[in-house]
Amino acid sequence: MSTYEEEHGTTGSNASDRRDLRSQLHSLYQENGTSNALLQMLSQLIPESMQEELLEDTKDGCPDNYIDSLPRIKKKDLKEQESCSICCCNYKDDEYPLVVELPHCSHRFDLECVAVWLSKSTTCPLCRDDVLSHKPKIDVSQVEMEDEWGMYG
Amino acid sequence: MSSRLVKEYKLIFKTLSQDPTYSHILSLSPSSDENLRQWESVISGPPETAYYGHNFILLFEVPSNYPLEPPKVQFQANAVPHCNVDYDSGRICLNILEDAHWTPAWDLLHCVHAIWLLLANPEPDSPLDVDLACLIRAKDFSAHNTLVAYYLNGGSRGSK
Repeated sequence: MSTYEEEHGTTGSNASDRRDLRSQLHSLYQENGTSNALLQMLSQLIPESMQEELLEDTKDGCPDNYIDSLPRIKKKDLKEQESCSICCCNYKDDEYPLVVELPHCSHRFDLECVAVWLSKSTTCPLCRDDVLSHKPKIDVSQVEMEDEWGMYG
Repeated sequence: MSSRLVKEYKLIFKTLSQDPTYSHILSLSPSSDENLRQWESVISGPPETAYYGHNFILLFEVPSNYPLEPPKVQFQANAVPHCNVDYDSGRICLNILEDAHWTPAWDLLHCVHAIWLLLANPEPDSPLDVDLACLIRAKDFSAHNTLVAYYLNGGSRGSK
């Protein structure tokens, strides 16, 4: 009988790692459905890019990938006297201004300035809009645990 | 970010000399030319309050990561009887000056203006001077104003 690994050409060691993880998860889930260790192991099954998003929810500011994803404003869309309210510098004084706009409240800042602020806060410096409140959160608690672990099949 | 302080310095000078909205701010500048981290301001008492006719000195300490952190600001010690000011130290209780409520879009001029507004609008629910706060809570404004005037004119606060 051919195994799953042979049929799909995946490496055996990786698959046995996963099987270990799976059985560990099973026993953990039966012991304590809400334990932190369980959540941490579960998060290993998720691609790295998404892991960051889930784990960084606990710190004060915004996750780095949120700050990186802020929309940039083209130089030609900047007004002549427009300035960053954090450093008070005119955007156009810089030959290559790197200006971003917060979604929803549309307030603009130098990326360099607002990135430092958003790494320790989640509010817009000008209107206190909670920038993360508009982002759909991935709710880990509602994910159902399937007996068959169909995600591997 | 000290370039921001330099920008503020220039802007403040321009604003104070041109904008009548800030005529109650008599001065706001660094204490000395060498140190941009220490500022001093003089404000006049708001009209129609017990503080009118008196001037008050504010002392600023600007942290190195300003404007990400708020400036530390207090009145001159032993000079300001107010329910949100600790008379002996000059410490001010004002939420925008706390880390949790500060935003980097505010500047030193905003702070001075906010403190001037606080003089006219005491907030008895977070008092540093309980006696004055009690008088406001009891709505006995004439007693409050008389007491403030008494202290401002050199009246003794008694021994502690």
